[in-house]
Amino acid sequence: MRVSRRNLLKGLALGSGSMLLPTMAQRILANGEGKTSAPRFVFVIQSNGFDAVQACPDSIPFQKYDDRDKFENIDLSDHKLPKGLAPLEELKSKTTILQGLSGRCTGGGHSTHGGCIGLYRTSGANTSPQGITIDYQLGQAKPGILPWVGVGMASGAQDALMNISARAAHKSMPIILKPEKAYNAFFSVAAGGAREKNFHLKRNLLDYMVGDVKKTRAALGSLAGEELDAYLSAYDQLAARQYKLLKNKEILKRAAPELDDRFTSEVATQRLEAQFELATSSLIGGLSNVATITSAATEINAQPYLGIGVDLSNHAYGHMGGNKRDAKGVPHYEKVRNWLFGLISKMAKRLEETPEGSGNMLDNTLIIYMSDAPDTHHSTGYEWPLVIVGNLKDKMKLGGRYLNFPGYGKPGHRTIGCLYNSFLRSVGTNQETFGRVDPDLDLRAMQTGPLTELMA
Amino acid sequence: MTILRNFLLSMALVSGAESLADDPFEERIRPFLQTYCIACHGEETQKGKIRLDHLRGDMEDRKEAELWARSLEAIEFGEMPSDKADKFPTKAQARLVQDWIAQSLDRAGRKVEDKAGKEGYGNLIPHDLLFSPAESKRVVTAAARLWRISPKALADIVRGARMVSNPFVLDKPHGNFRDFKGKYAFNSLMAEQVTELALAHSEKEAKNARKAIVTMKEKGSTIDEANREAIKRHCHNVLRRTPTEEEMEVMMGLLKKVDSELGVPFGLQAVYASIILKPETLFRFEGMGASDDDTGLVALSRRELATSLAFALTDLAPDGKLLRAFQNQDLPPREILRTEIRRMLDDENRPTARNRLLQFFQEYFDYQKAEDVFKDQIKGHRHWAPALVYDLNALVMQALNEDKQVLKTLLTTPEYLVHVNSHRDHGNPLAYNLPPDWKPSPKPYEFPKDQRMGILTHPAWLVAHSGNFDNDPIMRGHWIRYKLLGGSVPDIPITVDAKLPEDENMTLRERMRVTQAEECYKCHSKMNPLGLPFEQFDHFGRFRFLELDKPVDVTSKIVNSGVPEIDGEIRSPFELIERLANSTHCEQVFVRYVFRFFMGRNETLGDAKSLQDAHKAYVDNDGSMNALVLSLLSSDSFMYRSKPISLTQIEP
Repeated sequence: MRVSRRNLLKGLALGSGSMLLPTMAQRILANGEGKTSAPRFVFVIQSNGFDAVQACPDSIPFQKYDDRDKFENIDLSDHKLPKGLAPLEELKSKTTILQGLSGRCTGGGHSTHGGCIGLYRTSGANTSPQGITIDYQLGQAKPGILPWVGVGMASGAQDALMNISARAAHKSMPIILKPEKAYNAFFSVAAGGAREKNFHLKRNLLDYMVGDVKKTRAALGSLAGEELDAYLSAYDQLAARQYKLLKNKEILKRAAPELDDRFTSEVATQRLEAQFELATSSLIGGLSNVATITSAATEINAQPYLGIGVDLSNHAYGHMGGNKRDAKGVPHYEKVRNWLFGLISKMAKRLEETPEGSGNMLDNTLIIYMSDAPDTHHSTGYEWPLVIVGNLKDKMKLGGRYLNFPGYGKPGHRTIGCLYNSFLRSVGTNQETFGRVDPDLDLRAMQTGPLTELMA
Repeated sequence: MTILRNFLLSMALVSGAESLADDPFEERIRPFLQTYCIACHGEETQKGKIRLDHLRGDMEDRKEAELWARSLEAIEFGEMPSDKADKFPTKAQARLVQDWIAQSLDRAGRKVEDKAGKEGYGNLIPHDLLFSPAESKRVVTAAARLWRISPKALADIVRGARMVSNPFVLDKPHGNFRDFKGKYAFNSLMAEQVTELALAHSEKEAKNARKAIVTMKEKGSTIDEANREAIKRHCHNVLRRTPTEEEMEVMMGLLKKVDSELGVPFGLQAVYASIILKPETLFRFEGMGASDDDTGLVALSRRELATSLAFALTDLAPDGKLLRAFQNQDLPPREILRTEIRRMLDDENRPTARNRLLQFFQEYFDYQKAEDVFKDQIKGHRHWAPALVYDLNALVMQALNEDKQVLKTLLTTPEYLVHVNSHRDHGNPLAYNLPPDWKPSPKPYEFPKDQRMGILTHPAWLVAHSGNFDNDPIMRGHWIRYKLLGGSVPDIPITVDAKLPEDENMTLRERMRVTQAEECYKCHSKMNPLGLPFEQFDHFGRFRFLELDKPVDVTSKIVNSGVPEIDGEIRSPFELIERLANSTHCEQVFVRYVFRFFMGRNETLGDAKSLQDAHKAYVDNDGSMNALVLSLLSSDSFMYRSKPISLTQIEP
């Protein structure tokens, strides 16, 4: 008998008592019975820009966005992927390259911070989110055990990165930058030994704190103010999360990635490898349907890629240039991107190997690669090249396509907001526009509704 | 309606009874528009596609109300009338119109975003009113608040636990102050990090406490008694008080529950962690004392005052000495404050308070940012910003130690401390135009007065206010506009593509001509003329005569700065600096910033007396920073809060 997720999880679910049929198993069983599972999304966000020319295969003549007048749909199977994207060569039929969508509402710059997924403008002085970001909104629409997980890598030793993903304006969600911490946060409930004991110690403490803070809140009355409310709500959220994890302990036990040295490595690139493992396990195990993975997001004056032999700072090779085929910075960009697409490809293959319904998980997952600095090191947002691996069966038609949208402001031009509208439509949310609109572009024709060219 | 608007309204209601007659629009507002606005925004000329000649003062009309709201902001930020105008209204005239717009919009139930309480917008409170004797009779209007403790205080509480990044760390100040009201948003990440820290700290502490518990048991105490004793001791260490009986029962409940579930000593660890996580530990409360019904104010309790003072001058919770000083019931609190402030500022052995003053100057002049401005290395010059920052810190410390005419000295001194740091191998005398083989000396070096003058020509400040490849006259002008002139510049509009053309053959001044386009210049005129004289230096902070082989142009013309003694032709940065340093207005603006730093909030008109007293103390004491801080930290603004508003009074 073919071991499918359905059989595997059916056994598991029955084993743990059918009374407590866990959510994910229910979902997968439903799939096998002809129903569709929720679409999954992975946002991979890298700093330092993604120049359009670097997303263009050598065999396709490159045009600047100013010169692109009409929509083009090119079959990728006739072309070899550019060097930076080479690890996707085997997955070419499932890869889509999108050129020409704009994101001027973010203002561009060295980094748009959360603007890349929230479509709002930030500045160095104020990176606070101004609205919900697309990843979180998608996760909320079709949540797994948790609506969203965020993991990533920074060159330094900080625990977390804020102001990328957000559940609402000024409500940032942390991207966990330490794989071991992410493991403890999501999987310690089923880890056994000291880790599991600590999970329960924390659960007890959080329960107690919610009560204690509530008491103080009541005693203070009007003096308490929003700071204390925020404190209380933070503990409420944490406590609720512990119980959600506890309820799904058996599933998490199966899904947990193997801990190895990379989870505590001093080398940034190794930590990101571990984070990819963790995010892949989270998707396969049903911990969440949406993951955001950041690679040195927002970092400019840093050398995050020493571990793969790039000893220049992002700033240094950014300034060598990346917007021409022969620009001096391109080999460095390619080396970094090649490595990251290696991780993306590995993730995609694991999803492809995991059966789901009548196909596999990659049929219903999109891995979206983008830079937090839209088009180049000093970005403008006039265009925002993207690479998407995977597809959403019956909802979108992606894979094997190189799509050129008309340049900024030209008839047929569309914004990245329309791409996000398309994603939302696939989870059943019909939203007209996403994030802030660009006042210089036609609202109806260029910024409203989904990208029909991508919809099934 | 928020605070500023309420002020404006109350002012309008009090003072406006006679001035706003039957039809204020026809009598006051239309003539104002006619005189100052219509020439550019009338039937014939419609700059920015804006036309004001057909306004009727009807706020029920949505379009008209929007235009009024926009006009209000334009006057508030000094954006209009534009610097190219022929005539400018007086501040009082402009304020009358502002009041009328605010009042009329309010009456029509239309909300306008109020920014005066927000970080970075403190200058919106009219300067002339803050320093007008008539306003000094107002009482404090700042409400009591809750503060998260400082990152330093948190580290102190959980010392011993390994901390990689401090969950309470505040963002870089970005031109404002690091520690400020509104910067304390609490999020789930912080909660998680601080929980982890509390658990790590308690793990050790609970293990240590086991020994004492075992000893107590051996001496005949029950396990409950021993645990209670251990909890009590931890409360004394962290909360500096004994827990109430009720609190003790609840904590014992937690201890037993966890012990039975996970075993000993997890229960004690949980209780210890919970004490650290109590709101009482992680927040500072104020305004819990009784209110004084005569003034309508709430006085901070003695303990609250000790706490506020300790955080103001040391960034930490009060030590035993300070707490004891405030317990002396024979002395009134204000007197204790003054004695303790003097003691802390004069403490030669522990210069913690002096360092807080240094921190003020670091954030006010915003020069530490020099270390964040990335510059490529160029031939013949080694740039290393930390050495420059170190030198400037030393210069500020020296001025603080002398404590005479501190602001003026810092703005005009030709004497710098160069290479006083321990990193002299990295330092580079070329940044100061000194010869490469210049020998470091601990003594100040005197530069010619036409080459260097005070902080604004110090390489650390110049680099901090520069870009990766160029000077940044806009940012420099912005600094002077805000921090010395007390002015404001509107936020960058969303559609602006803030980029200068790249052309190696053009000087920066030439490239900046794009900002003179009409839609740009109404804001850029507030910054560029103030920043351009500093083209005297290159972006590494080196003095220069030439730019692209042409004599460098350092002239400028300041129009309508709001401070008449500053306006006029400028021939060099030094002339501009001298005008600024000799201006009483600029000195008062400086006092406003000191106020904001130490109070952690923007001033309101209710602080007029505190500000005026502080400025007087500064002037009377020959420009002493200590006297200024002493005055502020023993002022009503520091000691009192307005009565809390009951929840029913807060708008939904």
